[in-house]
Amino acid sequence: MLFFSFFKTLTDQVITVELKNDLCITGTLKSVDQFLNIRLDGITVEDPERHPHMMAVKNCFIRGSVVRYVRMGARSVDTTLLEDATRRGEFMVRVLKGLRVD
Amino acid sequence: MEALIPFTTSGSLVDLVDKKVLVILRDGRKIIGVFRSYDQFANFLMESVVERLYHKMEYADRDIGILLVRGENVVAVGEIDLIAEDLIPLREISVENIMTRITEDNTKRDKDQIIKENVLREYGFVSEGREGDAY
Amino acid sequence: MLPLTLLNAAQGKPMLVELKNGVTFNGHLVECDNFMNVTLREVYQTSADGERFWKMKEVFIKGNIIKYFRIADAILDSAFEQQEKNRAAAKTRGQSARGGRGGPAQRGARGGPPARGTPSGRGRGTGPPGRARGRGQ
Repeated sequence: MLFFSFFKTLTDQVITVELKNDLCITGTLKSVDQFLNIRLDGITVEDPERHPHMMAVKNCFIRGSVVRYVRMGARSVDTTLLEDATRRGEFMVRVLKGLRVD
Repeated sequence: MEALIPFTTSGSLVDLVDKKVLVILRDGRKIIGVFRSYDQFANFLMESVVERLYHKMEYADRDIGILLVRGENVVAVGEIDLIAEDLIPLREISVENIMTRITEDNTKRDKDQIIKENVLREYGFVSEGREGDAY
Repeated sequence: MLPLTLLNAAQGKPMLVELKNGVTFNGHLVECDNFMNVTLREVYQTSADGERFWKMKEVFIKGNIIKYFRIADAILDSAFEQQEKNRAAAKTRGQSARGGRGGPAQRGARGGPPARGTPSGRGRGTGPPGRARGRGQ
């Protein structure tokens, strides 16, 4: 859920999605869902000769399970906020499990 | 004020309906057709489907008809811009021609792959074989 | 129409099923379920390399191993017709149940919603948002 929320804050930003087959697609993030499937608009492909089929495609839906990396500008991300959210999440998990909370 | 489209799979796919799309499957196939419908698992129903085989700057189309694709086999779906499509520099050739060129490439690649796998096996690496993804 | 709706409507019709490993089955669809499990009858199985063939009376294919189905155009058309017939039948049943009072006026008032409200109308890709949790189970 955390990264789903994170990607929701990234909508309308330009990101680069690297797939597991090395295909890199740069575009504007339009939508994301709970499976981290990504919808990109205005795409460009990094190595178009290797992937000629993408030439006439301007926007696409990418299945979350085939993504290796998502690259974005450092300015798009507030890492402190993310760290806090992560720690809060971990905190709640431990409380619910009845574990020692540090 | 723009309507708030929910952040769901449906929300992402609804504006692709009745558009010409390119679907990339996990086995590496590129499928072009009219996107008719989908469900919560991203299973797709497509009409007037062709499989487009690419080789360098050439391509060939193979008729398929109606296709019902199971969602987990999809890598990506792209909306084809009909204007940009006319401008692409690829040349269409027949299926037989492209198949000969593709099989030539594949036999060469398989030979190299066998040599590579033999070396990697010495180091303990095992390949997935046919069951793996080919996209 | 939803993909699985088409599959249900295609019972008794011939189709081709390709599995993730490339094996193909040509046969008539007997039954299918929401997991996409299918049973086919009078089946011709072809290996992935297209070299070997088997014929069998019946085969059960587990949904999670399927890559896709190839279906004839005629089957999509007949499935649509079936849907239209069901929709029309439901409408007339609804009207007669209302005792036929002011039929046209009522239809006019409900003129907008039914197009979206009928189950088959959801086929235009307005899949249920937020029900995607079904995948995880």
